[in-house]
Amino acid sequence: MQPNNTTPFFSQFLELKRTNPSAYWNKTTQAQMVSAYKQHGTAFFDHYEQAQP
Amino acid sequence: MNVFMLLKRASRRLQTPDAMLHEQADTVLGILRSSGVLPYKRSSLNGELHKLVAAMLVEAYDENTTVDVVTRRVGTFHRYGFSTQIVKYIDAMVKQGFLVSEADKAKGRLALSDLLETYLDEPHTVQSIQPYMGNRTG
Repeated sequence: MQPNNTTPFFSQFLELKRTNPSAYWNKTTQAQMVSAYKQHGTAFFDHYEQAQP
Repeated sequence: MNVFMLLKRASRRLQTPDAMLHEQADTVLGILRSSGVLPYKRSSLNGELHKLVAAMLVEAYDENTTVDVVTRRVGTFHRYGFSTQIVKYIDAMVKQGFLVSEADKAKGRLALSDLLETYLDEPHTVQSIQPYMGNRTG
């Protein structure tokens, strides 16, 4: 499956954790994180990708 | 630093209201669960173990040291009071590149990857820190 613009990145999940921790920790969200990582690959970790020269 | 020492130190720190440690460990936990290193499906059962593994990496970062796996024998992990799953988790971290090993498995000195260091370096992991009041990890 190709990455697409609607699949969230890790920073968006971290933002959810900040604003709504219980939603972040629920299994549905955790499954979405796994799915998003599978789609994006390492690019899922967007903060790291942006930090690269 | 020896993996058992790191685990012991991390376990001790997790018992304290060290907000920075908890925040950083939660971020690492998110990385490890997203990538499938740690399974999320039984997180209610293994949440504490997963958080301990994440905190071990934070401890290695804070001490600016490697994770030294001197033995892969699950019996030794058991004898020191740690889950025998930990070797499997560390193997998966090496396989996914979160820990850098000269071998292709959890053996010897394992360095934190640039990705983990980037997330542990950055203030975005601490900007939302509030006094730690307990947390769910699964």
